Amino acid sequence: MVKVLEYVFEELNSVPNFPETAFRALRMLEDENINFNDLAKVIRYDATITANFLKLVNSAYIGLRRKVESLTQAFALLGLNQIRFFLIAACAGQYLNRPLRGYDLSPYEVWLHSLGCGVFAELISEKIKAEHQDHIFTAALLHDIGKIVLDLFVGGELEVIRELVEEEGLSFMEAEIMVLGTDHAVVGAELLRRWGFPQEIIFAVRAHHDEDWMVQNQTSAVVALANTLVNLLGIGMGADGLSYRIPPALLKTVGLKDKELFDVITVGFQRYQNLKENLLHK
Amino acid sequence: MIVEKGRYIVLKDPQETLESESLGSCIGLAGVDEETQVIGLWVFVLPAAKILSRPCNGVPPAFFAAEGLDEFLSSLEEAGARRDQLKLVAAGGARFLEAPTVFDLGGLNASMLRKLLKDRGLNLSGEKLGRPFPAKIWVEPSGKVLVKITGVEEESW
Repeated sequence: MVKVLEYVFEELNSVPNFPETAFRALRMLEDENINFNDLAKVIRYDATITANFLKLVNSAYIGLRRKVESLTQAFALLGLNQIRFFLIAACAGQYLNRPLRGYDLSPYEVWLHSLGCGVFAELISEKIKAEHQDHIFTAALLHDIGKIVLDLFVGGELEVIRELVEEEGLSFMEAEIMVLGTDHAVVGAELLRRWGFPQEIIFAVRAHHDEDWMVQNQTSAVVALANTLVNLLGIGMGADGLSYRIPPALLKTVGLKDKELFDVITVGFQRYQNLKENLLHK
Repeated sequence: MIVEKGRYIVLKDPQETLESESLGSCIGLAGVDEETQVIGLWVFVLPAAKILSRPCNGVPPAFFAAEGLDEFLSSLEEAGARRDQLKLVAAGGARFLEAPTVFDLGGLNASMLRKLLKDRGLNLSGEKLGRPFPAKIWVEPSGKVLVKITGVEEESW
């Protein structure tokens, strides 16, 4: 197991840094009186982020009447939170664009799962008027980033992990720890720590399958709930599927009532489906 | 042809395979009349519209088991299938290892489907429901229905 952990950390070192352009832009977005021309100058320096950003905005569920062709045009139409959302999503796409064979996911499914989680996190945040909406959807979009590192190792041990889930009643994450000495949430959190993300985002990623930690604060609970709903809907559902436990306090920590859950599922699925269909047809 | 969640597709004299995406707690119900060469696949998400606290615009009846089943069966019949010779196979309805009841959508969906079918005097010829792992269902033009659960050998009916 120690040897496997060494390899996992070697793999961690090989993941490229989160784009500095995005961090600069996110810091600028902390100022409510931001100058959008200055912001556009920073972002357009990175052609991939700019292209992904515009593609996502044009595909989104926000019902733009005409095609947006420039960053400044997009900024004029979007709120600060929406700009943050599309910026993080545009960057996440660069990491979540390859197959995760160990988790039995195509690049398309990996990307849809991340986007779906972001869409649900944004909807829940709006509904409960969450305090740290930007942290919530950043963590939601990046919650499974650890899978890109652990994929190779899970693939080699998938049968053993599944046996532990089916025969010992362990959750998939507990089985990952038993077999590999770590799990995709820990690895994801470590990656975000190295990239310099705020502690609240790192904790939410670390906690997204941990039934005790996910109810420690609202941000973690919303991210865990968004991931739970996306998995329930089978959106980019990996080999781990629903082999997890959901704590009774999750909805209460989020600030939702039981009866509101099904409305969130229905509206969230409509938003996600709209985004997915538009992305596919562009 | 991919059948999206909350939708169904029915084909007469099919040339193409109908397939679901990963189902999660949603349920894919395949309907086949081999004699009249009609195949159909429906994927529903929630057990009934009344589960919502308020009506939601733009959601098709096929999103819900209770509102979508008769529409799906009628569509199969309009294409020429006979209800008394339908082969029905269900898959999906995934469930967490442990979760509060409100999150047990897979269990709710499966119970609702079984009740609705029983009320109409129909039975499932095969089912793979309630496992915690991803499942997909597809119907070949020949009428063969296949279900694949990740890590488990596929089964056919």
